[in-house]
Amino acid sequence: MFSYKIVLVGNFGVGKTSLIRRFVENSFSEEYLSTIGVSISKKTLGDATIMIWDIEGHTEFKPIYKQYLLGAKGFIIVADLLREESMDAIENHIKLSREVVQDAPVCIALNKSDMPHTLDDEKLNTIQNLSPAVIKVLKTSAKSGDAVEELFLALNEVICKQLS
Amino acid sequence: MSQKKQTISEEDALEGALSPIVNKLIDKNFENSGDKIATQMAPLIGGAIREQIKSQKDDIVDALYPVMGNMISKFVTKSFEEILNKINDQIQNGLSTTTLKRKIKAKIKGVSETELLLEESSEAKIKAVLLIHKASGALLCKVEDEKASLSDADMLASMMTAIRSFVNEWVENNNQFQELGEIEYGGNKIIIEASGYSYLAVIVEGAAYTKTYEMIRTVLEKIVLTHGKSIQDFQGNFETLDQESIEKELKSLLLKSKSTEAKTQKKKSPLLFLLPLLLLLYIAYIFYEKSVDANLQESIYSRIEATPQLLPFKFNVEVDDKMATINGRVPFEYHKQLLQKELQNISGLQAIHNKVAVIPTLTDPLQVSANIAYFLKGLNLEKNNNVSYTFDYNTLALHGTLANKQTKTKLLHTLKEMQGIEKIQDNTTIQTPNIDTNLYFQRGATTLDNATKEALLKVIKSIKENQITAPLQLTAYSDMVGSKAINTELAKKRLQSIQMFLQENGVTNAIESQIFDMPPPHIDATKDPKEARRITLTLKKSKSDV
Repeated sequence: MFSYKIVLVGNFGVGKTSLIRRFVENSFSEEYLSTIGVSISKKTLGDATIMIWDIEGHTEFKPIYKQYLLGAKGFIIVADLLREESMDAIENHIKLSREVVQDAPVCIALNKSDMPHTLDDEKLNTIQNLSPAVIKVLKTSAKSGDAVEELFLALNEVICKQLS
Repeated sequence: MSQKKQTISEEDALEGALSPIVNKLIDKNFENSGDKIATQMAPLIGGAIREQIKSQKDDIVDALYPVMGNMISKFVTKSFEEILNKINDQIQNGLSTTTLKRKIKAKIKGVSETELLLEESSEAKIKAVLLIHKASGALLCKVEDEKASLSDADMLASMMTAIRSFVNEWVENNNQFQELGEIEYGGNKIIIEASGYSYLAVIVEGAAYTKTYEMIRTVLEKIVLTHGKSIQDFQGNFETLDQESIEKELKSLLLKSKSTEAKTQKKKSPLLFLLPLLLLLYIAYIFYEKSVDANLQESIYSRIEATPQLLPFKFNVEVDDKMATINGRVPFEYHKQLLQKELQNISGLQAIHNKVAVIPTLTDPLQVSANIAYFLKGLNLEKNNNVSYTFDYNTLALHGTLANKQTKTKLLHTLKEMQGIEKIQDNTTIQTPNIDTNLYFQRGATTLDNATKEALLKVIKSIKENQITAPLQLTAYSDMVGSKAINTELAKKRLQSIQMFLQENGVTNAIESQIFDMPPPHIDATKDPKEARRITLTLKKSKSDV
């Protein structure tokens, strides 16, 4: 029996909440609702209970509360394939996460893959090599559900291995 | 055009000239008839506010907020003060053991009596307890009241952690070292008690008091003490955690708050009512028994009092369960037996323990004196006995008269036998009854005539009544008529007749007789020959009698 916490980190509007909703409820809504503070969801995978923390997106004026990251066993850093600045922020987010929890695995979700985008493999490699903690970089789509399950399962696998 | 211009300039000029005057007039009007204006304005203001609220609610709220807040807080404070005063009055006025106990408790615990009083009136009820990993928000353990199960404890744990995190982050930014203590909602609250790596979130229904917090703190301390390391190292794997023993600890918290509740609601066993009733009945029975016993004791005492022989002695009578135990001392077995016999006649008495001791060695002068008195009282009942005594510790002096020598001998013998008497001074005299009788005979006759027989029967009766055993003396006298020989012969025969008559009538006394050939002294035989011709019957005076 496991119970652990993962946190989704990313700039505002990259689709953290949508990814979680797709994963937990298998649903999607076009409507954008900004998360205020934190919203927590629960998903059971095998004998693991995952508490998924969806925190308020990072903005220029509002830093991410470090407290929310405490005790997390893994991070999913989300960026919007269509928004350059969100992609650039990945590095900072990784840094922040590793500041709080040193050895937690990190998955990177490049979201909104259903939309036309321009991402070359070079860029993908750069992101992959940002930190040794990065275990996977995936292009995801909360809208179509593409690679969403894979994203969470990959993280869960690593964490469960660590825990047991 | 120019005309129009001119009109405008004229209006301006007029306005310029009039406005100071009009303003002045208005000011003056406000000063002089302010009341009147107020009355006229009042209905308008109400309407105006209503209109403003309708269109600009937020404006009004903002405008009034500072005032309203103060007003409400003032009102609440005032009401609360009144409640507190009432409670304090109650504490000060009502002085009973409970209030005394509460006062002491308040002093010892260092909390206000008011809080204790409030605590007494409403108990905190713990609905659920969650032990949460501080950093990750993982729910380590939870217990809950069966009536109030939490819908999603994991979520609650995480959310609580998020809220705590938010507050802590915010507080950190504000440079204040404080932690979130509790969250209130409706009549419930979540008390948060944090330790290094975990914290307890306790969902409490109703008001929580110092005692509740203490309980929570104690339980958390215990958990940290025994499971601190495993909680610190907890990464998400529950196998590393002894959840069972933690659950036990948390359950104790739930039970503690429940036990106080149960205490008040516990139904009283019918035995609790039956016991005092039985006790009461038992006591009543004992009282009844006691009264029966007391009555028996009373009747024993009165029976003793009604028996003269037992009067001189002191008895101690105890009656228990209709069984009499009698203690005391009597000089003779007789008294003991008499007592036994008398008591056997008392109905209702089931047993008699006659523990009366027969103690012949009664050396108590008063007791000895009483014994003598008792004995003499009995003696004096007999005819011609009239003996009194003085007893001056072991010397007994007797005074008075006795009927006969035998009585005297018996008296002295008995007294000598009596314990406590060393010396007897006997000053008694024997008062023998006068049986002296003159017996007359016809001239020349030797038989008893009726008058003589009658006289003799009187003597016999007296002898028998007085139990006279002394010898009788018969003395025959002569009327001096005829020869001495004839007279002597006549006297002998007459004496024989008397002796015969006495013997025939059961007189066993020895009889001595004397014959004188002369008339009795002081009798002139010539003048009264019948008086001279008689036989006198007297008691022979023994030497000791004189």
